[in-house]
Parts: sequence; C-alpha cells; structure tokens
Amino acid sequence: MLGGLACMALGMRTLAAGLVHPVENGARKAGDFVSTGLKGIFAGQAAVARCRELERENDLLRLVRADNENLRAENARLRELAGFEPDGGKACWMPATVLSRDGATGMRRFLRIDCGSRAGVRAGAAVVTPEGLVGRVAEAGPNEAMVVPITDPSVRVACEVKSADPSAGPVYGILYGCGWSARKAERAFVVYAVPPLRLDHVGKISGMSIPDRAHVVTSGLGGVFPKGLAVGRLTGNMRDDDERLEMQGDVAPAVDFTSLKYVFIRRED
Amino acid sequence: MKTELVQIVFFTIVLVLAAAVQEMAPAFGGAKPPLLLLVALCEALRPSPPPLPGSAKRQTRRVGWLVVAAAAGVFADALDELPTGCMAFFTMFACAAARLVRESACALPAPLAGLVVGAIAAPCQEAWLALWIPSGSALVRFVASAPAAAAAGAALFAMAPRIARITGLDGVPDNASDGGVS
Repeated sequence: MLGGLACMALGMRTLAAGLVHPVENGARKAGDFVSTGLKGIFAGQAAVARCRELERENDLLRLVRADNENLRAENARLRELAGFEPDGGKACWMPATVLSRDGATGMRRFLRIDCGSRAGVRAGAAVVTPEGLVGRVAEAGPNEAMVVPITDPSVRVACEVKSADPSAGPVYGILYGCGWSARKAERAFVVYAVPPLRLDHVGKISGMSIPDRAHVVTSGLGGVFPKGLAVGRLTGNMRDDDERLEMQGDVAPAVDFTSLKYVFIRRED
Repeated sequence: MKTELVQIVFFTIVLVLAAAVQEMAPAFGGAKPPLLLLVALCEALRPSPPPLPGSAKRQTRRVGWLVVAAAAGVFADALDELPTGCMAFFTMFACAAARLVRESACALPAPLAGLVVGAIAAPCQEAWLALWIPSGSALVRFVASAPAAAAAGAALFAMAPRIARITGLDGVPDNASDGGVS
C-alpha cells in the first residue's frame, strides 16, 4: 500500500517535472535570445572586444587542457609502474543551466537544471561552479534534474582544512548544511541572510592550529564528492570547547547561491 | 463531450504554464506568488454560465472547479515534493471557502477581487506550509507573500474573463449577444 503510494508520488513528480520542463526551457531560451539581442545592440564594440578576449582565453584553456591530458597519461603510467591501482574512470564536467530555484512554493531549497539522465546525469553526481561546490544531484529525470545545495540541512560533505603548519598536513571534518531547523526558527529575525555552514568533528591535535579564514575543500573521503573542490572559507576562529575532543567552525560558502545561472555536473565516462 | 475535452486540455495547459511561471519566478522574502492556487481560486469564483435549455453543462460545472483545484494542488505537491496531498487539500479547501463567500467576492470588480483573494490566500498558504515544512523565515514569508500574490491575483482575475471569452469556455453561446438569432 505504502509502496504503491510512493510509486504514484514518484510518477506524479516525474510527470509534473516533464510537463513543466519544456515550458521553463523554452522561456529561458527565449529570454536568453532577447537579452542577448538587446545586449548586442547596446554593447556594440564592448561585446566584440569581450568576445575576442574570451576567444583568446579559450585558446589558452585548450593548451592547458592538452597539458593536463599529457599529465594524466603520465600519471597513469607512473601509477602502473609503481603498482598502484588505476585512478578510476575518467570523469568530465558537463555544463547545465539552472532553470529554477527553491521549487514552486519557495519552501524547498533545491535547484532544477536542464540536464537529465538522457545526458548522463546520475543521482549523487557532484555539481560545481568555477567558484566551488554547489551540491549534488538528488534526482535525475529524463531531461531535468534536481540539485540539493550544500546549504541544505540534509547534506553532509567530508572536508579538509589546511593547518597553519604546512608539514602537518590537513585536518579533516564534516560540513553540515545551514538550513533552518525548527529549533532555530524562533530566533529568525534576519530577513533572507544565508546562515553560515557548520564545520564539525574537526579533530584536536596537540600543537596544531588552524588559521583564520582558511580555505575549506572537499577531502574525497565521503565518496560522493571528489577531492579538492573548494567549499568555502572559515569565517573566524574554530570553536574549541575544552570538554570535547573536536572543534567546530563556521564556513562561508564559496558559491553565491542567489545568483546561480550555470553549473557543471560531474559525469563518470 | 467535446467541450469537456477542450476544457480539460485548456486547464492542463493553463496549469502547466502557471506551474512553470511560478517555479521560475524569483522569491520575494522567500515566498513565490502562488499562481497555481490563484488559477484554482479564479476558476472556483468564476460565475456559473447561464443555463442552457436541455443541457447538463451547468451540472458539470459544479464539480469542475474542484477538479481544477485538486489538479493544481497535486501539481504543486509533485513539483515541490511536499507530503502527498498537502497542497491538494489546501487548494481544495481554499476554493471551497472562497465559494462560500463567493457572493461578496463577485460583487467586487474582477481585478479588485483578485487582489483581495491573492492578499488573503497567499499568507494562508504560507501558514499552512509552515505547519509541514520547518522554515526559519515563516513570519517573513507570511508577510512578504501577500503583495506579489495580490498583484498576480489582480492580473489573473482581470485576464480570466477575456481568456474565457476568447476560448469560448465562458459558456455563453456566440450568438447570445444578438438575442440568439442565427
């Protein structure tokens, strides 16, 4: 009975998303077409100059990519010679456009993007921007997918922070989404500010300190997000409670979630 | 039968458009204008068409608004992954309540009726949703939802009679204006 209801709810969700997606996609494309046309008319020379600049940057990035391919091949050869396991499958980043944010009522904290399972998007895939980690794909429909951002309270990210002493290596912790909880709701008098993310379970090691505003990156230990993706920066000192063997800190996300237009999804080839 | 099919297709298109616009709309104070709810309310408050002799159309119209309300609610539930029936129940309840006070609402000009309905329905929806989903900004959303919904309601209620007339779904025969002479 419950299984049937769940299947029906899932079917309704897929149907609703499938019906709405073409309209959203069409509206976005029409909007892009009009805004690009208008910008083209008013920008004129500046647009041409910007286009040339981007072409040069594109050429440069092609060179960097070719270098990276060589390094990847060399790394694979060296791993083979050293007897290490292969570095897993080759992953690539696929661009996607953000169709909508926060659902239809604004109550849900998720993004809907215009790439789905037909384009190779799978549930659990990491979603990033050049600034840093956005979240993970929660559900992938045929032509669209739902992305849960790292600000959602349900998301946990295995992270690492560089310690003040470079020789000591990184310290590990778990990042928690900052979404509102019912307990905190009474204290919510700020209109729409995003509360910071919380870095917890950071182990205390004697003699080791963590600098203020240190970069927080993914550690890859959780198995969901690859290692080394920027997550954010500490907003201040780590809170060090004498009664606990762990430290806590607040993290400001690297990504501006209110102005997301394009994202990149990790796809394993 | 053909008219009912046209109505189903028409309302499906309207609900899909409303859902897409609602989802793409920017949030104001965390709330979005509840277009799906407003479409359902607009249909619930639409004056019944004049009875046609020997036609069962008026009877169909009596439950038509409920079907539209249920469909709009289910749409919102499905898009937002809300608990099953959460918005469907609220939309049907809101439409039923609106129909109870329909006489006074219909006395107002259409845009004003839409403004009032939007300004009342949106905060009620926020309050209802806050019972299901914890949100730290519930009070802010409650207040912020009203202006956008009132504006959207006024526009929707003003447009609805024209759209109904253009599509021929207002139930008035084309030759009614000239005394039914054909």
